[in-house]
Amino acid sequence: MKKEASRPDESHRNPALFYEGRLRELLPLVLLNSMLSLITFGIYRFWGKTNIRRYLWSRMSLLRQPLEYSGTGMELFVGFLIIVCILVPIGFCSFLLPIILLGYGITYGPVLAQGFLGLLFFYLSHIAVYRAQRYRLSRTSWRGICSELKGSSVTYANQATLFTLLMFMSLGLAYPYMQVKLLKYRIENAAFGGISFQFGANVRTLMHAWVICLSTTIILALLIYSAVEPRVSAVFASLSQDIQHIHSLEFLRYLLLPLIFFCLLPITTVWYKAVSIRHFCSSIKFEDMSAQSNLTTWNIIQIYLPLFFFMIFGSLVLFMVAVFMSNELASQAYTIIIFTAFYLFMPIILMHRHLTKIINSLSLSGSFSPEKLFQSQQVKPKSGEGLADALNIDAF
Amino acid sequence: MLSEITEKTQFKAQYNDGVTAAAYPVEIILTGFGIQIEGEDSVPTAVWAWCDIGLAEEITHNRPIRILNRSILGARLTIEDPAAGEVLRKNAVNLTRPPHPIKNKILLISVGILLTCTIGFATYGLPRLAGPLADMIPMHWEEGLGDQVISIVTDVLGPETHYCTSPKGIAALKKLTYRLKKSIDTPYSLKVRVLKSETVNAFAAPGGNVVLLSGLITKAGTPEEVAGVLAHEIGHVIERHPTKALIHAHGWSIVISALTGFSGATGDLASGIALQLATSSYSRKNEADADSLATSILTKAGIDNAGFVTFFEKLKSEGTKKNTGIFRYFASHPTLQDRINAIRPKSTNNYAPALTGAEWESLRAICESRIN
Repeated sequence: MKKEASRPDESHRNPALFYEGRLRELLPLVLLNSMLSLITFGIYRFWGKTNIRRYLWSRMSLLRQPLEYSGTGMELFVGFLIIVCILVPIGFCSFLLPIILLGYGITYGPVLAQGFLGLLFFYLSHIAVYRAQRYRLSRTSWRGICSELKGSSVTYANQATLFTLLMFMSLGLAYPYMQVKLLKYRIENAAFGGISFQFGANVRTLMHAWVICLSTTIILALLIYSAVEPRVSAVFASLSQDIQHIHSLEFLRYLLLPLIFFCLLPITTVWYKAVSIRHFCSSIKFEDMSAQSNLTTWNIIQIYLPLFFFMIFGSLVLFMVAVFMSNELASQAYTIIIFTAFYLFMPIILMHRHLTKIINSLSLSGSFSPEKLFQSQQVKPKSGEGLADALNIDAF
Repeated sequence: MLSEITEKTQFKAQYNDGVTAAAYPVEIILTGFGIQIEGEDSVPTAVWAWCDIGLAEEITHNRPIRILNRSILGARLTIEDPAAGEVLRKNAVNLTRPPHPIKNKILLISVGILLTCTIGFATYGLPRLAGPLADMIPMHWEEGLGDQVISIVTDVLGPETHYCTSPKGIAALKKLTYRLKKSIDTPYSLKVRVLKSETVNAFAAPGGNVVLLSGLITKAGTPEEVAGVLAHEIGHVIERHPTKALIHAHGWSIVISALTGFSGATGDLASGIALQLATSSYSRKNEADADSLATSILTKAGIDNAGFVTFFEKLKSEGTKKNTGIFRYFASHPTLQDRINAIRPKSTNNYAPALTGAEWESLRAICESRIN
């Protein structure tokens, strides 16, 4: 106990905390899952997800002992069925509402209904996020001891809605504030062996990086906009001679600046992402143990390199197919293969690379006493990741 | 069950007792009854029976063996020596990964019932419910819906598409429509229009809208052939098929997206196939109904339905063989041969021509004088 917790890393290859998953083991798993999901009309995906999680968890280890995922596909499936009972009526309403509004002569009825449903789903999605984390933590154990997530998903969703509103009102300036507040709620409500995690991140450390990134993005976006705007206007002007419906596309011109801004954002905030992840990781404390991260901006770029590579390579192939392939069926097949491969494999590749780069950038210092971490007596959620307590169905 | 153990029976291991997160270095001895765990003074000796032992993690090459005891929550043994795997496989009868299959029968049964009910409702309930639901929708709502459907179709057909407005052609079309509908009773005011398009097709949209594509008029050899198609679409209108189909498809798409997940590439592909399968059988039934209605409309209007048959035969002779085998279940229409067989016995004699020669010529030219 005292000897392992404070034991210095034995070798560089076996640090206190590390992830050793391999893509060549993960990708066949993903492929198998998607095939089985396809022939079962998607029902297998809960079991597939469970298999992937079992693999990922078991390849993450702390003090040379892996994490363990004990959830089951059936739990996820049952949780999902409960949610379906709530979402299906909402789906029917989403169909009927626009027709009813149209019937009363409200022509913007569909837009109104869409907006309302969008807000509803925004709120529900935060509840879902929190509940899913509660389920995952309750099924995660280390040395046989389970972790747990306290707190209320409704409180979390309220906070998330409030802070998102604040962020939009401050034109994005309050983004680090929102991040810190929401993470704080999630991390401080997490506990292992009856002891809660602590989260000491502060907004001030992140703010200057965020302000620099945000203002760079805005200046760049304005520069690009002023260069591009005359050309786009010219294109619209030439098009409007041919196509009569062009006036209905007029609104696209006003979306040009936001479009440029949001395209630039992932690129210009790479530095901020590294700074914030470093800060968040080193702000987490468990008893006397804390983590330090040496994640660099280059590491973040490395995470996304396969995405860039695939996008460039994929569009090159699609271009070649479109230009040189005369057989329509074959070129369609190529297009489908490329898109399917992208959608199937890219999420897991990015997830894998995040884990590799972020977890392996961490080093632990300080210690904790494993013999004081007791098995939790809290009642665990019985079904997985459902949205049921959105309406307080299983509140007691 | 007491298989003799000839291999190595003693291993070093790490022991977690399931009470705290502490890890104890222990010696384990594999005996006929189970695994005996012996540690230092702080660890009490324990015996794990073979039948309780399961895997905490699938045994993989190059990784320590991690086993658990099903009767002690959280208890774990980690054995570094791969030789232990052989002995465990021979002796532990339940050497599988937990959890056990769900024992709660009520849960399993309720899940089964829920699933059966959902699919049962979609298969048997929705087609029956679509009619009453469509009847509940007021007429002017349907007209708004129909306008939307037509504008979507117009967008799909391309920028060249427009309504054909030659006055003589419209007069001929009106005459034909009037002749067909005077014999039937429907609350809809029929709006029959011709869209300029090469495609050989026609469709009915909610709110009494019928659209003929000009390609169909070009393809037709006689006015009776156009009358047959028009009667078929009027049949759809009388039976409120467009609105019913919309409700039916939407109901199914909710059920299917619920089952296959609301997102994900596999989900989309799977749900696309499922939706096609589910809606096409309903659509085939509606098509057959519209065909038999069309025959009676034609008979009442005194138009020879042989034209209807010849039009299908024309399509059949040109069409590729695609509606055979498994593809039949994906098709939205019955096969042409089935449709011809269903219509033909009803044709009799004593008919007046659908349109005069001059009227027929102006209908064929309906798209030619476009007033800009």
